[in-house]
Formats: sequence, structure tokens, C-alpha cells
Amino acid sequence: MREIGEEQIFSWAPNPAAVANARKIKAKGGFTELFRLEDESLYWGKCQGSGKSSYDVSVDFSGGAEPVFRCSCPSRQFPCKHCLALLCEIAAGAAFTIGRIPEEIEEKRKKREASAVKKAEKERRAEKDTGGGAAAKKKTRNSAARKKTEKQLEGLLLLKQLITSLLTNGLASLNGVSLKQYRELAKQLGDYYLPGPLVGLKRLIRAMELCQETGDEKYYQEAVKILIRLQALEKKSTEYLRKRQDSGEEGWENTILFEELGGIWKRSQLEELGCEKEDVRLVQLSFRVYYDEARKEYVDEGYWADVDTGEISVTRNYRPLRALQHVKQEDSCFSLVKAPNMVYYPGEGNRRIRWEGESRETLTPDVCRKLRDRAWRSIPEVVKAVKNRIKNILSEDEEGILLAFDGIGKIEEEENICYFVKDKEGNALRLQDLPGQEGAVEMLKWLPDGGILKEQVLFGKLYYEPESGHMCLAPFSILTEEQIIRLLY
Amino acid sequence: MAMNVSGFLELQRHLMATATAGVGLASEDFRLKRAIDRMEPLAAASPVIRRITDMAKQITRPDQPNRAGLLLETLGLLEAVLKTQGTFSGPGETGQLKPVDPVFCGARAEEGIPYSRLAPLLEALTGSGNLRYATIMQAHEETPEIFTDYRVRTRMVKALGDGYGELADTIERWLREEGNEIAPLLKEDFRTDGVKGMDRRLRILGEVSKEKENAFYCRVLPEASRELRVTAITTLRYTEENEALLLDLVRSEKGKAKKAAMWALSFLDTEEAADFWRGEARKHPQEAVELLRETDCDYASDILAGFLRTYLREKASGFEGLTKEQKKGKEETERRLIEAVKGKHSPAMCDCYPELHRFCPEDARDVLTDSLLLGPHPALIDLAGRLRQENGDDWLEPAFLASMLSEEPEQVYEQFSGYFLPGGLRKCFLKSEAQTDKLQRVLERLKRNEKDGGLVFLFHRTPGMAGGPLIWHRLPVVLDERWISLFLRLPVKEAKKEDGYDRILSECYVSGDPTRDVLYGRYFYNRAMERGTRAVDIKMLKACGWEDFHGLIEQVQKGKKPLPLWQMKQILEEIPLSGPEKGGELNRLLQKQKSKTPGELRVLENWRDNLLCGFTLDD
Repeated sequence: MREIGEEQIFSWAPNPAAVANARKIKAKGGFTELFRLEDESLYWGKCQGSGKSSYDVSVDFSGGAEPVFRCSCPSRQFPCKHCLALLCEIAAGAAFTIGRIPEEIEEKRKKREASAVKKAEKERRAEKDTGGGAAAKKKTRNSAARKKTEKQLEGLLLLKQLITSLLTNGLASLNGVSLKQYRELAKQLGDYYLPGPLVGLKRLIRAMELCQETGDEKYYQEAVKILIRLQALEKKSTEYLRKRQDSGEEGWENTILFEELGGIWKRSQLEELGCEKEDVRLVQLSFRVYYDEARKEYVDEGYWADVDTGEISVTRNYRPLRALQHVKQEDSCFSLVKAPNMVYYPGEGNRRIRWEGESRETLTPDVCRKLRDRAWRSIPEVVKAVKNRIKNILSEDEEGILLAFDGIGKIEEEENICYFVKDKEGNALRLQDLPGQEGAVEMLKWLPDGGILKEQVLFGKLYYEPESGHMCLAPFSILTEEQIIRLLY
Repeated sequence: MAMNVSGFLELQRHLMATATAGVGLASEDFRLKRAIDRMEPLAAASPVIRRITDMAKQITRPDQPNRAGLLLETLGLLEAVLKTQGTFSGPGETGQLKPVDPVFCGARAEEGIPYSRLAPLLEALTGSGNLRYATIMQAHEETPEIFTDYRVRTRMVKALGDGYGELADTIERWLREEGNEIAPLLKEDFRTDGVKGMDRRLRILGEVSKEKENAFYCRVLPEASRELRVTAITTLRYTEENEALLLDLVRSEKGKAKKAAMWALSFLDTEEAADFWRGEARKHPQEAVELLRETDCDYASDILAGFLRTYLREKASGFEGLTKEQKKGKEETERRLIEAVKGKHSPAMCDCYPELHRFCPEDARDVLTDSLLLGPHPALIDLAGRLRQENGDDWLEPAFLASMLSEEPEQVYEQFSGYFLPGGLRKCFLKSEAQTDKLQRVLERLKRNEKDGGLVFLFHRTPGMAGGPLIWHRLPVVLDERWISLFLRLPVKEAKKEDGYDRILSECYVSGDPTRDVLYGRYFYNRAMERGTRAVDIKMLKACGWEDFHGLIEQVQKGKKPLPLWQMKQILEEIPLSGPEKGGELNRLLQKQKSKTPGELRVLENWRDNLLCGFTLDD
């Protein structure tokens, strides 16, 4: 019998409610017939719906890790609750009668195979095609790229002027009227293929609005930080684009500037750059969903550890408000994920990753132990490595790390309690939540088992705390020899 | 060794101020210039610092065309330098770290709770807005196990301060069912300054820890805000050690806090407390009746017995010479007194029952029944048996209850089953139906306990001085199997109190006995056909594996009263027939239907059409 976990079912479901409905169908005994092929590549059955005739439901695993769901119900959800109920039956180890493949499914399988062959053939031909058509296309592409670069350079100049004007008059001079003007100017950046800086400007305007609304000066500091980043982006991007323009280069190098300017990497582009890895085993260490006001979108963010290298990477699933119904929310994952082909984005530290097609297995103590072996053992070493990366203005302000610790202790200062994590040599890092993010430090003392706070591995985000001048670690989960205990999600 | 970064920080602060004020003013900013000068000696040490200093100087020059750019660059460079100087504590620098001893609060680290389930629940427990209550209730129903997770439990305690009272009540009810283990969580970050929810925490702590946390209650009391003080005083009732303190509080407090102290004192079974209450009963009898309602101390019971006797004597005289108003007042006194004597079991109180029965027979039986549920004290159990022996079946209900709470299940069955036998013993009794009703009333209190699956008597008492939500108490009980067989064999027509039997049978149902399932199926099918289909019939028929559901929809409106639409919907959704089959039956029902309003008929016709087309009811 095929092994399917609940988490896997959730990952295929369009939303949690669909799984809840599927469970109800299973509990009611909705399936009147359950069949499977001997090689377990296909499961099918008849499910009693609200209609007169039963629905024909099937889950076909012949096409790789991602199954093909088919159901004769009229639901617009995909996969529908009946397909998910069939998965629940498989997961529960229900008795499936071994049967012969239904004719219509066999036909559909053949069609799918034929279509895959056709697609591959088309791609092969396109690769081979070095004739006039391709050359013409390439020429058009080059010309379009040149025009785009020119436009971007114009936009960056506009951005520079805007920053200069802002700082010449001072941030305090911004009032309702001038903020409105800046909003209009920011919109113009959209015409220059610069969505990245546009988001930066939106953040800046929001910070200034908050400053006016609340009178809190911390928003001035935030605004200045945004300006520093914007200016650095403008300067580096201008240099880079000019260089490209001069050299007549086409395509993108392995640089973070593309994404910073608002470009969206295609999988094929990343593959071309060689940013890919095969047969990767990943374990999720933490997960959260947050709303980005400036981008007007939800972001599902997961931190993952590569079991074989210990590298910590991040997945981000962007769900714009205006397309919320069409983009599925991701969920936390507690299994070992095997990704046959993963791509990673340019950058340092926790690089963004993504993959298509995966299989999941139960997380075993063996995997946990392997991951623990990959953790940093010395606080000075990890701090040095992270400092070197976060000092770059365009990099993230924090970096996820795995740290093997000797113990977690506390110091009581007047009314406050400060938590510290200590390595074997006795070096200690302050544990402190990241500003503006849901806190997990206070959860440490409620952990059900005292052993968890001694000689384990901590996953957290290391960052510089400017008020105190300390490097701090925001804890998210603890990796024991047997499991990952999450302090948040 | 870490570098002294105070100069960098000062420069950064002034450059930030320049950004706020505008670079145009930088050349006149003497503080900025001073900060730059302070950097000068360091500049020789490192090229980066030299660069920062030089760039900062350029910003102050009015002839520099790119001051804005330079300002941001300098700030960027400063930030980078400061980040590289970020510190951590070397060996021994933090001093002796105290170990963090995790506080066990009865929670677990549940593995694999997906974000999609956990986040909405945590948000509902700590956030604000609509539909939170529904989210929490749904999670509790679907995945109760996640409420033992440490992340959820800590938020549950926070939710005790929620502005939505019903939510906080529910959480309080759930937490009260936990043991003493949750005490550390309740005490954590406890505030005495009137923060919402602290009274609930203290009340729960009292319930789960009783006298074990007396030191905590005593510590809270002097600092407690006015509202919290009342609750804090009520928690002093768990140990006699607080006698002197409570007597002091009775003297020193006023209003609600004084009442709380008196109420708490009534729970202490000491001579001093008894003396106090005897004196108080003489001076303020009405207050005594109110405040002695919940204690089961013998002296309180004696005081109330005295009041009861006096009252009954007055009643015997027909309240001669009293005005209409005064008589109304006496009725109120009777109501309060009856409520207060429930649960009391001193010999003096037990002796009052025959007299009470003489003047208020119904009340006497109810008081004894309720008293047994509040706490099956041996004296009350004896009393119930004795009263039945001496006065006959007028005391059948409490005697039956007492027997169930104290005797072997087989004995109970043998003593009392005869009252239910149709055409048998039941008819031998003069008021057979009334007697059966009394016994049935006891059995109708039976409920299936969600936690262990056993049967319990479920009852509640209105919250008194301690306040808080209505709490349901459970008294475990074992029922002889033969009761079920007896009820299942009862001819449907004979069972006048049919709904009662249905409830008893559905509560007592246990799956896994095929023979019993057949009997259950037959019973509920016949019941549906006889008195009209109800949702309970469908639920039970499905539970016991009944296969033939045809014709049940047509029977829905058989009863005297038309079934409300929501119940119709429930039946239509639950009944395991195909949509068109349901639609066909609903159509036949509609053809016979006369008593529905046009609006209701339209809804039913819409459902019928949906079902016949293979859609769900709401499509």
C-alpha cells in the first residue's frame, strides 16, 4: 500500500476546509467501491455524492511525484474533496480491491503520455532551431532588452533625484501634500520597469505616514534605513546596467540586483545560470505567513535545512491580495522532503530556493542526527560569518542558522529576564525576538521537557541589534536527536 | 576585543538628524562637526574610518553638490562598521547564567500541527474581531488534542482576559477541568493592578489547586485591585489556616469584599467560624441564608435547618396577620431558603424533610434529589432510603437516585425495574405512570462523558459569590445492562414519555454489539414511523448500521407540531439516501403538506428541486 501522510494530503489540498470535508466523506463511508492497480500507480473508486449517481474518483501516480486527480463531480475545487477523501482512504490503509485499469483512465494516460512526448519534441526542436526565425527572435529580444535597460537607467536617475530632493529638504519637511506628490512620483517608477525600487519607495512613504500619524521618531530612523538601501540599490544597479549596456551583454548574471529591481526569475533562467541542485533532501525548520503592506501581498515563508550540506535556505510563496483566490497558501511541513530538482536564487546567506515535484517521508532520528552534525559549534565563528554577510546593505538583516548549544540560561535584570544560549566554550548569545515579528523567546520556559534546553541544536535568526550593539539570536525551533520542536509554527 | 563604538554611534545619531532636518543645514550643525572631530583620532587607525570621516566632512561643506548621496553612503558605511562590531559575550562575561527550568504546565509539544490549523487558533485566542469564538469552538470539536499543546495552552490563559465574555467563560470552563499542573501557567505574569482576566485566573487556580496555592492567594490579596480583591478573598476558603485572616477581613472590609470574606469563612469548619455564623444568623438572617447557600459545613446546615423549621411553623399558621405584600415577601424567603438548604446534610437538616414534605411535597423531593447530586453524602443516601420506606413512593425519585449512587447496578435494577414493566408491576401501582415518570426523570439526567466514555449524571449550580461561568459537574454512575434491553423491548405505544426513552437510549448506546444494534435499529425505526422522524432517529440508525432509510423523510411531519425547517434540513442532510431519492420523498411529503407557511413551502420546494437535480440543499 502506498504511504501517504496527512501532511502530504494537506499539501495537495486547495485549502484546509477541503481536507476537513474529505475526512467527513471518509467517516461517513462515502466510498462504495475502492480499487487499485497491483503496481499501486492508480487508485480509484466510486463515491456517493449528493447526486443520484456516484462520482468516479481516481488518483493516478504514474506521472511522477505529483499525482493526477480525476473526479466526475461538478466541483470547481481542484483536487476536489472526493479525490482528497480517496487519499484519506489510502492513508488510512483501507482495503482496496486489485482491479484492471478502467478504459477511460487508460485512454487519458495514453493522451497524457503522447502530449508529454510532443512537448519534449517541441522543446528539442526549439533547441536545435538555429535558423533565421530564431535569429530574428533573438534580435528582437536584444532590441527589447536594450530599450528596457535604457528605460531602467532613466528610472534610476529619477530615483536618485527624488532621494536627493528628499534629503536636501529633510524628512521632517514632508507633510500631507508633499507625501501625495511623492506617491505620484513613486507611481511613475512603475513605467520604468523598476517594481523593486517602487516597493522601497512605498515603504518609505508608509514610514513617513506613520511618523506623522503617531509622532514616533523611530519611523524617521526606519525611513533613513530605507533610503540607505534605496540609494545603494540605485548606485549599484546604475553601475551594473551601464556596464551591461556598454558591453552589449544579454541575459542576467548571478546577481541579486535582478530581483532587487523587481525582476522575477524564471526557473529556466536559474537553470541556465547553473543555480540548480539535484536530489536534495530538505527539512523545514520554521514557517510563517506575513503580510507585506508595501507589496500588498501575503508571503508564506519557510526556512529549510539541506540534510546533506546543512545549508539553510528559504522558500517564499507570494500571494498578492488581488489574486488571493488563485494562489494556494502554503503550509508548514514536518516531513523529510525529497526534491529531485531544486533551483536556488542568486545571493548569499539563506538563499531562496524552489522546486517542483517532491516526495515526502517521515522525519527519522537518523535525519535529525545528520542535521545536528551540520550545526555551527562555535558562537564566535558563526557570528563572524553572519556579520560578514549582513553588513552588505542589500542583504537581509538577519540570517537563519543552526547552532549546537551547551545550554540555555537566563539572567534576571531588575524586572526583565534575558535569555542566553551558550556554546561549549562558554560564549553566549542573547536570545531576543526579532522586532516586529511574533515572539518565541517566552515559549522557552514552557517547553514540556527540561532536557530540550541542554545540549541540543537551536534554529534561529542571527541579527544585529542596534540599540545594544549586540548580535542577537531569535529562536524558532529546537532540533533534538529525534524531532524538531517548533517554538512558533 | 570589541572596539569602543561610542564615536560611531554619536556620528550616526547626528547624521540621522541631518537626514531629518535636511542636508542644507549640515554646514551649520556644530554638533555634527564635533562628532566628526571625535572620529579624527580613530581615522588614522583604519582606512574605513578615514573614509567615513572624510565623507562626513564633505557633507558639512556647502559647496559639495552631492551631499544627499554622501549622507546616505556614510550612514550605510557606518551601519556596516557597527554590524561588524556587533558583540556577544565571551566565556564568563555574562556571569553565572541561571538555568531555565521549564515549567511543566501539563502541556505537550504536539508534533506536526500544521500552520493552517495552529495559526487561526492562536490568532482567535489572542486577537480581536468577529468569528473568533466559532474558530475556537470548531477547533475544539475537530482537533481537541491540539489544546494540550504548550503554544495553545499559554495563549488560552491569555484569552481569559478577552473582552468577549462568552469566549473567556468557555476557556475558563476548559481550564478548570485541567489539574493542578496548570497552576504555574496561571501564576505566570500575574498582575494585581486590575488587568482583565486575572480574576478568572485566580478562580481557576482556586479550583484546580485549592489550599496548595494558599501562599499565592495571601500574596495577591494585599496588592489586589478592588475587583480582584473580592475574588482573592473567596480563594481563602480552602484552608482553615486563613480563619484569623478572614475574621479580620470580615471586620475591616466593606460591601462586596466583606460579603466575600463572610462567604469564604462559611467554608471553614471551625468553632470560631461557627460562632461567627451563629451570631450573624441572629443579626442578619436573610444575609445568612444567601451566604450559607454553598457551604456544606454542619453548623451552616443547622442554622438553615433552624430557619426552615421557623419558616414552616409560620407557614403552618397560614401567615396569619400578614399583609399581601408581606406574604409575597415570605414566598421569596421560601424560594431562597429552599435553594440554600440543597446539599446540606446535618442531622438537624435531615430531620426537617418530613415536615418540609408536609407543606411543600414537590420541593422536598426536589431538594433531596438535588442535594444528592451536589454531593452524595451518606446521610442523604440513608435519608432517601428511609423516607421511601416510611412514606412510600412519594420519595421514589431521590430513593432511586440514592440507590444508583450507592448500590451495585444489579441491585438497583432488581429494585426499580419493575416500575417500567408494561402491563406488569407498573400497572400494580396506583399512580404507576407518575411513578415511572419520576424514575425516568432520574435516568434522563444520564449523559455520556466525552472524556472517558462512561455514564455520568450531569448537573450544575448557579455560580455564587466566587462568580465565573456556569459549570457542569459530573457524577460517574454505572448502569446495569438490563435497563437498555428493558427499554428496547418496551412497546412504542406504551411509552408515553417517548422522547425521554429516546434520549436515555441514545445516551446509553455503545457500539460493537450486533445483536443490540438490531434491537436499537428496530426501536428507532419504529419510533420514527410512529411519532414522525427526528434527527436523533437518523443519528442512531446510522450508528447501529441500519440499512433501510426509505420512507423516513415522508414521516417527518407526522407529529402534531410541524417540524422547524432547521430540523428538516438536519434530517435531509444526514439521511444516507441519494439526492433524487431524498427529493422524491420530499416531493411526496410536500403533496401532503398543509401546515407550512408559503415562505417555508418555497424553501422546501427549492430543496426538493435541488435534490432532484443532484445538487446539495444550498446549491
